[in-house]
Amino acid sequence: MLVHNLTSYLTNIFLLFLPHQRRKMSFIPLKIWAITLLLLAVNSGCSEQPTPSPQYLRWVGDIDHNPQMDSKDFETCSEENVYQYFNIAKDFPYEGEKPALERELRHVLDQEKYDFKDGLIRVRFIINCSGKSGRFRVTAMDRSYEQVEIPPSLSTTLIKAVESLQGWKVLYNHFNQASDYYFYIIFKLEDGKIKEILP
Amino acid sequence: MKNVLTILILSSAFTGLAQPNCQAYLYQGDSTRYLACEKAMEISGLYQFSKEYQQILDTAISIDPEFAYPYRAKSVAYLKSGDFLTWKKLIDKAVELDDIGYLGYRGWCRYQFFRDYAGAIEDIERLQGLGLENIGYSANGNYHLSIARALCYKALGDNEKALKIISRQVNKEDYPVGLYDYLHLGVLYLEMQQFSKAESALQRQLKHNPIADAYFYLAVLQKQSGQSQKALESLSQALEEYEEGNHLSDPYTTPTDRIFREDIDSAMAEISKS
Repeated sequence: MLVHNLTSYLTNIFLLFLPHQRRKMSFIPLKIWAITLLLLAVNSGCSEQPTPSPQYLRWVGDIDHNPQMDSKDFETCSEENVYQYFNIAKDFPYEGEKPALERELRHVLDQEKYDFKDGLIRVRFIINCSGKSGRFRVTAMDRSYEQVEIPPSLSTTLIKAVESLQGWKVLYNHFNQASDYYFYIIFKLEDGKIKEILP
Repeated sequence: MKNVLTILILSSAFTGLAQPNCQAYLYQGDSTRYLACEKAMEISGLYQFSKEYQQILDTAISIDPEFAYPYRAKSVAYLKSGDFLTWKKLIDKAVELDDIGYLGYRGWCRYQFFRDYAGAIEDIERLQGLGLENIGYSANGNYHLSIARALCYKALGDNEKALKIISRQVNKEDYPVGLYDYLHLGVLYLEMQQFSKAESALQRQLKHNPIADAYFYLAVLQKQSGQSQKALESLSQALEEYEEGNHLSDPYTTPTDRIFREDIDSAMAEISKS
């Protein structure tokens, strides 16, 4: 709040320089100018230690190729233009739509009770312009949206299950070119069982 | 006249998910927020997922860390990419700074994207407790938040409560019926085995917005009461609407009670076989 008040004070002063406010400048007492200059000096001293700004990839959620994790056989057609599925899909981009995808996943996954009590596990990946999938990445949270580690065996099981899906549709961009796209599958687990598969 | 104009500008400083009116902050004497708001508006025309979009909002936050809007705007790309961790941190900050503006939105997203039914109910009910005359609608505009709340109770197995909430909402005076309200009401009655009420609700849905899903559930009812021929006719209509794209849909997620092509095909095959 102190920072907000200080910044607001300084910017209020700054705004008096805007063209439509200039006529009010003559009413600013000298002591206000003095305080302003002092605050500016203090503020510039503080700015010597800038807060680190986040490092962003090209787009939020981008998955770069990692030779230690990713299959050599998987390639994108245009690394610069991997779309989000909802930007180019007209409907669920899987042959037989969501029921087929869920049936195929459950056929592989529903046999077991997993070592992960409650929460969501997301597998995000790319479907390339030939309808092949790759670059799988796993993230998990508990019921409070806090990041949790999952057993490596569970991560491998889920990736293998998603990798086994063969019905991905080839999607076309607005220039009617077959395109790469990102997709994700979220597994909602309750008491070690897969309760729902999203989106 | 000037006073009226000022009141209008001030009262529209921020209306939930709409873009904020930066001028209103200036009128309120909050020049820091005005500058942060003007900076945040530079995202206009940029892709939500892009680095530039995020960086502009970071600058807006650095100007005024207590301005809720840029946190919410930043959160959207994370939400749409299924990044529940980053999304939740950002939207929690927006809610902390402006609960009236963002509680309903967060509740809806918890339901729509992550099927966090209990969390969605908690947010929507907290919003209800803030004394608003109308708690508002889902981010996509398709649902009143009361209907979303009811669907969450249904998902948690409390059909009675869900029914009570939907019935009360659709019977409110001056309530503009939502695109899918009667479909969900009909399915709920069907699941509770109140078949005549289910049929009546589905017929209202068909009159209001004839989608494949409503024809499909009507066919289920008709089959149940031994009217196989009528059920087949309803399924044919469901198929026709489905192929036209007239069904429950959402670009990001799968809506509650949505049916798919194979549901129609299977139901047709089953009736034809019997």
